[in-house]
Amino acid sequence: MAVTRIRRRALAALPLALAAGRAGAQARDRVVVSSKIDTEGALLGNMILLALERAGVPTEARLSLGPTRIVRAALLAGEIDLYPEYTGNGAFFFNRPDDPAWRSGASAHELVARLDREANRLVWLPRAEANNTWAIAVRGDVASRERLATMEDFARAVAAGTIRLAASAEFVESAAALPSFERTYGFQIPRDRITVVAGGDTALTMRAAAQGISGVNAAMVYGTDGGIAALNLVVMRDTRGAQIVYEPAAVVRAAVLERFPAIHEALAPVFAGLTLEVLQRLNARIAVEGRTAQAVAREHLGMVR
Amino acid sequence: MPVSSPDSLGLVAPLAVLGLAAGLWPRLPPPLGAGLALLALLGLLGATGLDAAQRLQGMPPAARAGLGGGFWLGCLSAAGLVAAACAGLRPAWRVGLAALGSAALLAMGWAGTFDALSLVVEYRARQEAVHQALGRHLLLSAMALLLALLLAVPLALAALRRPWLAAASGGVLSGVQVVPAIALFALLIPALAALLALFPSLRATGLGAIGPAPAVIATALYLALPLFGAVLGGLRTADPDAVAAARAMGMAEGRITREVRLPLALPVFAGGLRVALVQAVGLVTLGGLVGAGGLGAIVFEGLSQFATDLMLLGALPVVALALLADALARLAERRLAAGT
Amino acid sequence: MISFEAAGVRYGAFEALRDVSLRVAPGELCALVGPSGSGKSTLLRLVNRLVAPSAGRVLVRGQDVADLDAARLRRSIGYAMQSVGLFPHRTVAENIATVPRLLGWDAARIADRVAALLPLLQLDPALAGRRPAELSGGQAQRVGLARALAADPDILLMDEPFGAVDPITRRELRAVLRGIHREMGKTILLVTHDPEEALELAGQVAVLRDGALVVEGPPASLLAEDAPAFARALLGGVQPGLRRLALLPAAAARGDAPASPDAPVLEQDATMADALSRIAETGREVLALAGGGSVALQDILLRAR
Repeated sequence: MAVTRIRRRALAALPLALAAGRAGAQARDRVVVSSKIDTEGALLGNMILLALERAGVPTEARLSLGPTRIVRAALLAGEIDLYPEYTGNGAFFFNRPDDPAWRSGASAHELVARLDREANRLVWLPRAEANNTWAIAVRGDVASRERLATMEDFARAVAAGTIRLAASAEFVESAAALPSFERTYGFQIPRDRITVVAGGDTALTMRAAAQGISGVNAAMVYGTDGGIAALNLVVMRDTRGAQIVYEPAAVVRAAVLERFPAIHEALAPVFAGLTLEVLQRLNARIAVEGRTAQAVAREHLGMVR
Repeated sequence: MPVSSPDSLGLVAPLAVLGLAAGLWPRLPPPLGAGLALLALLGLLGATGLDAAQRLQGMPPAARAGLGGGFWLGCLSAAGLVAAACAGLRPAWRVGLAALGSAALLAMGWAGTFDALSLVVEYRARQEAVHQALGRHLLLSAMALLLALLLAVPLALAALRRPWLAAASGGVLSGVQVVPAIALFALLIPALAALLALFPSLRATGLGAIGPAPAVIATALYLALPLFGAVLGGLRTADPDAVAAARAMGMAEGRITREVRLPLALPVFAGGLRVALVQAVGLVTLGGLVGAGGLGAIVFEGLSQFATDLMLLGALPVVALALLADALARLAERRLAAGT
Repeated sequence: MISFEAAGVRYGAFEALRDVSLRVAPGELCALVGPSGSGKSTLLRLVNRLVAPSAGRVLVRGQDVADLDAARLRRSIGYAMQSVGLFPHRTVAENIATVPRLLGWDAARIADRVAALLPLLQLDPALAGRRPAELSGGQAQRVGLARALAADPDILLMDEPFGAVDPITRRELRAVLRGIHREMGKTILLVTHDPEEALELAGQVAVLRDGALVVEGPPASLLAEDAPAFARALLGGVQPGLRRLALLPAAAARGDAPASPDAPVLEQDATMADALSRIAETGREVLALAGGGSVALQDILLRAR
């Protein structure tokens, strides 16, 4: 039996998904807003709903609909009108994973927006510059002592023998993950300095790094993981684009945007305000403090009840 | 942030009881053995709850006691022991023990024995959502089973005397089994959307390309194979002499199927129906992937967040429902067998 | 009543029946005998169209069965078979009522009929509510026979109906069938592989071999010295002469020679085999015949040829 204070839940989305009404693919009098079934999806979806509501755009909520493939299929089928998606997923939607454009935020957004506009009459609204991709985070005290901020710095620290990493087997072995970082930045972590954690649970890797379990001081994370800020970890910036960039942006059907042009202006400032640190902090409120995604979204948008 | 080491007492004490029961039980009268096994299970649960409460004393209110691997291992072996001991019992004893165990669990729950466990805290926090999901889960399961019956039974009846149709249907339905749920949903969403675009009035009936419709349809497609197999198998196993006699006396084929084959197929069919029922309860969980709600929504939300307690909050009721459905269906089957 | 006109049945390359012509007069009990696979069951099944002829015609009550509705034809003909094929989920009474129910009789008439049939087949009326699984083999056969007779058909088809019961039950069932035939005047076609059964019950015997009719006629004629050897061997075994004597009435050898007053007396319906048996027992060559006259050994030998 283990006692822990970490409390994880994203409560708001569930009753909403259950109570959601039906929507038609044809001309509708409201925008059907959806999101993926994860913490950040619930957060972004709630923010979108609130921002549209504030701008007077009528909405219908179908949050936490399902995994990427399902939500994307629903958007393409016209069952939903708008949901937050990550730029990097364009690499898989359009089956061109090797395009270098995916490796920087601006070009990734530009490419996926163009492809989706031409192929599917979808519009990608302005993105948030918060890269939620595989990243390596280092314990705060180590980062400030060794002055570590980017992956170049991290490579230096590895060479100096100061790093001990906690990561999932997939992260260590998948060519797109750790091997890609090692290739891009020219380092090699000895495998005996990696603690492999079962499953892909970043809560475990982060905790290992934060608490220094078995001397671990660096962890595999997702860029916007809520635990990062809460556990005082620092994400190493991927300056050379070792990873495909996954920055969130609202994707909306062009026909719906034409009908409700206010959507654009309502959402642009919301996403512009979501930096990596802000998103980490907001995710932490849900995943670590156990508050609802709706409450966190409300508070962030200055709509405290 | 403190992390406790695995607890020795909470694990060892109930396991000792288990070991004792296991060692003694071949020499015990079966009802006593089953009772002891049940006592061990309840003891394990109770001790875990109390131990968790003790550990959380003096900790902030947000603290939770999660359940470790040792607990599940102990729980599983205790439950297995109960099941094994019950296998040799008469139904009356079994029902009595089940009622006793449930009553004891409820009493412990009511007394607050488990209040400190994170699973229970999580449940308390979303009680209403869980209850709602439970009801919806049952509804979705029932709809899926009904749709599967509507699909499989006529197909099996038609395939009875058309070997090509039996082979084709069997092939297609088996093919469906190997399509992953997500891929099936991803196919169903555009297909349903296209259908709804053709017949917009269907939306008024509550049909949608996301939500319950694809969940029910996909589950029904998965269930169709066992049902089809059971119906066709049952119809085929009907006593060939009875069928030959019916034909020789001038019964029309439709009437032979209705009056001879179907009644004789009933036991086989009932078995297939029970399997499909249990599968329906399990498979409808996948509806959580298309916004159909139900317990699956809780399971997948927990999975996507690596939130074990949340996952269990959805998964445990699914397991309980499946076991309950199986037990009830078996009872009904036995009644049916006794009736004919 | 039933006539086969050059009937043939072919399953692909296999010829089950070949050019069979046979007439069964109204009220006749015709036994079809022959080794396994000789086509006797196929011939029987031509009558109620369970098998369709691929050559020739089958006439029932003067009409070609091909012109009749198969279901209606079958309901007008009783059918009993070795495996009985009672419906296991129905009671004895419901089983017997099958054809009347198909014919749309009302419940009262069906109940009366079932009540009348049970004693006729020496079945305890208490069995009416039982299910077939609770019956003995002999009881099941009787129920099967009752079911065949239920709608009082003028034609009865019986496919080895007593093949699966013990010899004593078999003898009883034969007696029941003989009674039914005699009292009700039904036309009966009986498939059997038991020569004794054929000789005892039938007024006409048809011998089949490899799908062809070898010979047909009254049983005694098939045992005569000039009958085909195959028929004689099949029906008479190693002592066809003795078997034949068992079919001939002793009265046919009645002579004028008076028997001595102390001569043994022979029953009026005794067969020549009975007479021979008494002669062998008593050593007396002349027996008195009940009702007048006498039977002498010499006359028996003369008449039996």
